[in-house]
Amino acid sequence: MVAAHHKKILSKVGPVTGAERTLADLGTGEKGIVVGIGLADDTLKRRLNAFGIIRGTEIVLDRTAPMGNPRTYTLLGYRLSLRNEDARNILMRVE
Amino acid sequence: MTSCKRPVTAMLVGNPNCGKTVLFNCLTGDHGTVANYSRVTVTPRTYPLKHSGAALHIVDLPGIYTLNGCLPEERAGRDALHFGHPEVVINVLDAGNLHRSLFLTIQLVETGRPCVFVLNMIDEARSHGIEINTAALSAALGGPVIETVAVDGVGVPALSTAITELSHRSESWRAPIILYDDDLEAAIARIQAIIAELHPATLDAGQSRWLAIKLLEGDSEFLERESEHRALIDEVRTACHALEVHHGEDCASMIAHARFRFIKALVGDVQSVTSTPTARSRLTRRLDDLLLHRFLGLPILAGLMWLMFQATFTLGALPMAWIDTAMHWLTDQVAALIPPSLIHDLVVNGIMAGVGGTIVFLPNIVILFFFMSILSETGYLARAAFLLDRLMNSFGLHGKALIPLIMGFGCNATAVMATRTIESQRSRLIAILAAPYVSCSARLPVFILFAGAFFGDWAGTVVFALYATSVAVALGSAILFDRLVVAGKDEPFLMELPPYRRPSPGSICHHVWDSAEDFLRKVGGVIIVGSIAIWFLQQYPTMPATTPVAQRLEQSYLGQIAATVTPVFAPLGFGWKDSIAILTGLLSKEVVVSSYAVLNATDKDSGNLREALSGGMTPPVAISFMVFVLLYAPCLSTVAVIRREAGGWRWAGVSFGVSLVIAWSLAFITAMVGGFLV
Repeated sequence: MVAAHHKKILSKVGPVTGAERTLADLGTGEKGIVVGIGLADDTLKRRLNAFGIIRGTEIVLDRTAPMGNPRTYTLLGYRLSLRNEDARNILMRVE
Repeated sequence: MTSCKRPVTAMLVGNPNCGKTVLFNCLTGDHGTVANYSRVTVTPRTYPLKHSGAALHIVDLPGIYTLNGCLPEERAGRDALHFGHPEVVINVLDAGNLHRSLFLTIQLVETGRPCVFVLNMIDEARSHGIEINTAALSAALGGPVIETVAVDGVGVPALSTAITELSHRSESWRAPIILYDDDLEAAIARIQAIIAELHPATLDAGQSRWLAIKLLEGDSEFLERESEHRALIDEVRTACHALEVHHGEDCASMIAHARFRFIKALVGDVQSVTSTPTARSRLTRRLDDLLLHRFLGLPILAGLMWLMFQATFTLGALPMAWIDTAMHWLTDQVAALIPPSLIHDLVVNGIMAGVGGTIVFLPNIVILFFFMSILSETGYLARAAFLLDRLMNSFGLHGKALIPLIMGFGCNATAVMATRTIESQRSRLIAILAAPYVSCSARLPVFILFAGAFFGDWAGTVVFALYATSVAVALGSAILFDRLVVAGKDEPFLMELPPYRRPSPGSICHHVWDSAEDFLRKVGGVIIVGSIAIWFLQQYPTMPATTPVAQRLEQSYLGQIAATVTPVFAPLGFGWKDSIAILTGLLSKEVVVSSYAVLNATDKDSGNLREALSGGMTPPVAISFMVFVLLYAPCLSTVAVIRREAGGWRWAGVSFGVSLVIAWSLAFITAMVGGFLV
C-alpha cells in the first residue's frame, strides 16, 4: 500500500536517489530534506513552493495536533502547519 | 511647484501576518482591524497621506505569499501592481522570517517597480538572536531598507521619508536583475525578444523580462492575455518542454528553486543568527507545549472560550446598570422637557426606549471584542485553527473557515467577507452558508436580556449553551451544504503559526473601538429607524384615549400584522409581541431587544424590561425563543453581503430559506422537550 503510493509519486517526480519517505512519515523532532513534490496539481505545487517547500529545504516535524492531523513543521526558521494528506506528497530524504 | 504634482500612489505589499495593516495605520493615522492571524485585509483600501507637501495615496493590499495568482488575494495583489501603476511599492517583510518573506520580495523586484523594503518586527527578530545587515540587503535589492517596529511606531518617520524620496526618483528607477540558471536565462532571452517585437515601445526591458518569466511560470492569466500571439505561446511551450525534459523538473519549480537559491545566498550574506535559542523562542515553545498539548489542548481551548463568554456576562453587568440608570435619567429629563404630545410619545416611547434598550449592551460587546482581540493578537487564534482543523474537516469545512467563523461571533457580514481567504470556491461557499449560524454580537443583547430575565444565576451558562448550539448548528449545516452544493475537491491546509506576541494596547484599543463604533452606528441608524417604525405601527390607527392599552395595541397596525404571523409561531409558544420582535429583527438582531423595549414602554405598569418579560412566557418558551432568534434569517446586511460574495440572490435566498426552516424546527423541538421536562 505505502510502497505503491511511493511508486506512484516517484513515477511523477522521476528518478530520485535516497528518497525513502514522505513528509508525513517524519517522526517528531526528526529532520528531513525535500527531494521533490509528487503532485500533478500545479496549483498546489506552486503554493507549497511559495511557503519554501522546495527541493533542498530542511524540514523538522514540530508537533502533531490532538487528533493526529494536521501537523506543524519548522522550516526556514518559521512554523507551518500542513495536513498529512498534503504532506504525503512531499518526498523526503532523511539522513 | 509641488502643488501641480499629481498624487503619488504607494502600495503596501507583504506576506499575511507581517504587520502591514499596523504599518498602514501608522502611516495614515487610520485604524483598520489588526490581528495576529493571516489575511485580515481582504480588499485593497486607499487612504491619502499628506507628507512633505506631496499627496501620497497609500493602498493596503491583502497579505500574499506570491504573485502567482492561485488565490483571489494573490490575483488582486498582482493586478493592483500590474494595472494600478504604483510609483512606489512598500514591501513589508517579517524581519524574523527573512528567508520566506524574500520569496515575494524577489517577485516584486522583478515587476520593475521602485520598492522600499521594510524589515518589520525587528525587535522580535533581535530577541530571537537575528541580526540583519541592512546596508548589504539594500545593495542587493536595489532599494532603501528601513527597520521598523510598527506596533510602537518605531521607524515610521524614516519610512515616510524614504517613500517620499523614492517617489521623486521613481522615473529613474532601475530594478536589479535576479539571474536564473543558464538554460532558463536562454529561454527568457528568446521569449523576451519575441515580446519586444510584439509590444514595441510599450514595455521596457524590465517589464518584458517580467512578462517572459510569468509566461514560463505558467501564469494562466498572462498566458490567456497573450493567447492571440501564437508564435509567443508556441515558443513558451517549446521552451518549457525542453527545460522539463532536460532538467527533469517543471519550469515553475525550476524558477522557484532558482529564486530560493538566490535567497539562500542573500540571507547567508546579510543575516547572522546566534545559535542558542533565546528566552523568547523558548517561551513560545513552552506555551505551545501546554496550549497545543495532545490531551490538554482542546479542553484549554473550550475553557478559554467559556471564560470569555462568562466574563462578557458578569463583568458587563455593572457598567450595564450604569448605562441603564443614565438612560432612565435622560429619558425623564427629556420627558419633562417636551410637553405631552405625539412628539413626546415618539421621542420618549419610540426613539429613547428603543435606543436605551439596546445601548445598555455596549459593555458586553466591548468586553467580548477585548477578549477576541487579545486571542487573535497573541497568536492563539492560529493555534485554535490548528487544533480544530481535523474536526472542521470532518464537517466538510476547511480549517481556514475557522477564522471567518470565529469572526462571525463579532459580525456575520464580516465573517462572510472573511471567507475570501478560502481558495476553493466550493469550500468557500460552504463556509459562507454556515457562517450566519454563528451567534454574532447582535444576538448577544437578546440572550442577555432573556437569560437574565428567566435564568438568574444560570444566565452565563445558558448564554454559553446557546453559543455552543450556534457552533453545532453551523457545523451541522456545513455537512448539509456539503451534500447540497456541487461536489469538488478539498483545498490544502497551509497555515503559518506565528510566534506568540505581546498584544499591543494600542491595537487592542483600536479593535475594541471599531466594534463599539460599529455597534453605536447601528444604534444610531438601523435601530432608530426600526424603533420609529415600530412605534408608528403600534400608535396608529388613532383610537380614543379611553381605550385600554392592551386593546389599543391589539388593534394597531402592529397588532394586525402580528395577528397574521402569530399562527406560524403558535406551536413554538410565542405570543404576538414575540412575533413582532421576530419580524422587526429581520432588520438586525439587536432590534429584537429594542422592539421589546418599545412594546413594553407603552405598558406603563411594567417598570423593568426583564420583569415585564418574565411574566410573559415560561422558561422553556424563553429558551425556544432564544434558539429561534439565534438561528433565523441572517440580518439585512449579512444577506446583502452573501449575495455579493456568493455571486447572486440564489445563495442569499438559499441561506434565508434554510435558516427559517432550521430555526423553526429546532425551536419547536426545544419547546417540546422543555415543556416535557418542566
